[in-house]
Amino acid sequence: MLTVLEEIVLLTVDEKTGKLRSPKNYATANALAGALFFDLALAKKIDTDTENIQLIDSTPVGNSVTDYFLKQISEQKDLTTVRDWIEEGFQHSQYLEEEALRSMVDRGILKHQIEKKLWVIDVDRLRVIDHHEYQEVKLRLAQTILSDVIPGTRDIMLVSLASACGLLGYVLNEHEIEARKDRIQTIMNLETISRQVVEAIADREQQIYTAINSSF
Amino acid sequence: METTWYKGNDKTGYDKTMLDITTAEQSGWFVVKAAGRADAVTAQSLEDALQAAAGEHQKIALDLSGLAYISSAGLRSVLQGARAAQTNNAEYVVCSCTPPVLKVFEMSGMQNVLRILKGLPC
Repeated sequence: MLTVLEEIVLLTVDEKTGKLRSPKNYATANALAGALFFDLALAKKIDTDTENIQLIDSTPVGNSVTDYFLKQISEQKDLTTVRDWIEEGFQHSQYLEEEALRSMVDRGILKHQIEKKLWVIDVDRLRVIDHHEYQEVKLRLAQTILSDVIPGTRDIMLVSLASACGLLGYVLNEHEIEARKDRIQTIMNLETISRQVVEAIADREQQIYTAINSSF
Repeated sequence: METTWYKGNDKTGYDKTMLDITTAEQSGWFVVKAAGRADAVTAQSLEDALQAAAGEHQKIALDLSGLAYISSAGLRSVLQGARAAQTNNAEYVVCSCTPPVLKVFEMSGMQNVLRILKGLPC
């Protein structure tokens, strides 16, 4: 089974071009951080209330990414809120993405290829090899949004993060997203971690807006 | 009243009486009462009790009048109980939330997904 982090990274892979798509890089980076903490919660290593993270069990799980952050959480006592840790994860988003890709390449879900562009420039490409996993993630995402069934825990995590970083448009058309916007909003609000991811993205957008305006 | 005790894992060192779950049948409703704390340590017990109830009863009321604290893990267990009830076409209501628990429910928008009542339906 894929981790939530791997599912989000897999959704960013464009099947046709082999490139990683990210409508807003900072939003995806925040979502990857959120996915990491969802994985820790699913492993029963952390719990959250409406603001704070509690470490439940620091025993390593055998996954390099989650174990690295588990160690960080147990050592960095000054960071206590979910938002603190989303920001911390944001700083490591490239590492999160690379490790998730590496894991999926190792398991034969993706294949890393280097192609020549204009005969000289090396271009990284990722080919989806295991289409079953890829389709399953997209199908779950679509079904969770389009149905009225109370969603499962993993599906809530998947939808809320994919929506937060603008990946829904690669799975559903704009009419479907518009028609189900209340459902999407409800799902996004259910989890503290995704609420904090959305707030972190909004704050970053505000910072960018302020920076642009102040430069004129 | 039939009483079942679900306690925190002994290995965690947590208070063993963190979450008490009692069940009773009242006027056609199967009432699951959770008292104490619903968090990462106890949430699975709550979810198991709700899943079991959903498999055997058509009207389930989750009484949270004794619940002092609920974390994200606890919320997930309440929600997955509702999911199990929906799968089994059973009625599922959450009732008598304490103020701190109600606040968490409202912040999470649980009222958009669950039927939340001020008191027991029976």
